[in-house]
Amino acid sequence: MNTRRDVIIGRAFGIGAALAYGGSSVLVRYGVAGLAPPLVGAAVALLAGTLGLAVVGARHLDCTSLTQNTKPTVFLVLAGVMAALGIVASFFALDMVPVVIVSPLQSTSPLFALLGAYLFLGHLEKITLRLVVGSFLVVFGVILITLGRAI
Amino acid sequence: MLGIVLAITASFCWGAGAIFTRLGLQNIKVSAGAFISMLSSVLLVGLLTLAMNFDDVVHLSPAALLWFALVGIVNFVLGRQFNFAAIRYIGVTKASPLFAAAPLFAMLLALIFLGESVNVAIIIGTLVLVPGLYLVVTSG
Repeated sequence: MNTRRDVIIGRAFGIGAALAYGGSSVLVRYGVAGLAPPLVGAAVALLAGTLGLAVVGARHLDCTSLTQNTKPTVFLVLAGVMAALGIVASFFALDMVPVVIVSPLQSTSPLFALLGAYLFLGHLEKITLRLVVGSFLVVFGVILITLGRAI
Repeated sequence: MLGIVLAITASFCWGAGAIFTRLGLQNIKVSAGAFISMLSSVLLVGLLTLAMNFDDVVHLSPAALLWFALVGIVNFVLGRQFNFAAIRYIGVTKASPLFAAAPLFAMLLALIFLGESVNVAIIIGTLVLVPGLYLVVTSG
């Protein structure tokens, strides 16, 4: 059960993540567009991110507990693989169809997360009608904003 | 058609990644978890890039290298850590729609710093998105 403090911190981190993603997309759009193929840019950005996180996160790695209980590590590796596959699929998609088609389709990821949570995280997550309606509104709003910026 | 399938695949992968993150973060610190996931991401994308764009990697200019590194710091050191922390604290179903709101922040940043213009689609999108976010964060 989340405490009120957890909820406030979680929301702040969620908005912080959205700000970071939004900020990096502005950097990509106006700073690095055309400097190199997108996949090369993604690889360099990922490498820089990994080195940065090595400084911040590697000291918290407890190798003994990681090897004793491998399940969380496997899930986190799969999370990284899925994120990477998403990036690669996104670049190839942008190579084949216009951004006005790709961006709205990519914006639907919270709905996949919602479905996944319903199927696999019933013991951890509570899914309410309010949450489902809110998620659909967010996705629809994001689609309109990305289309508005692309046209 | 393949392009559309790939775009949906990307969305599916990001949604599935969030589920795996939720499952993986139960007994591990956020920054350590983010580092483990980044290692697998960089290995996969790095190898693919070397296989497909080796010449472009070799001839990358220092300016491009620095710009991409800056993007990596903002997007992954900050973004992925905040992403994981939000999932840890409020769960994937409430955190994912918050991350999805990134285009709203991108639009606001571009409006403030780059003088990008606003049109009807963007205004309606914002008017739909904000109440949606309110419903998500206040859901029980």
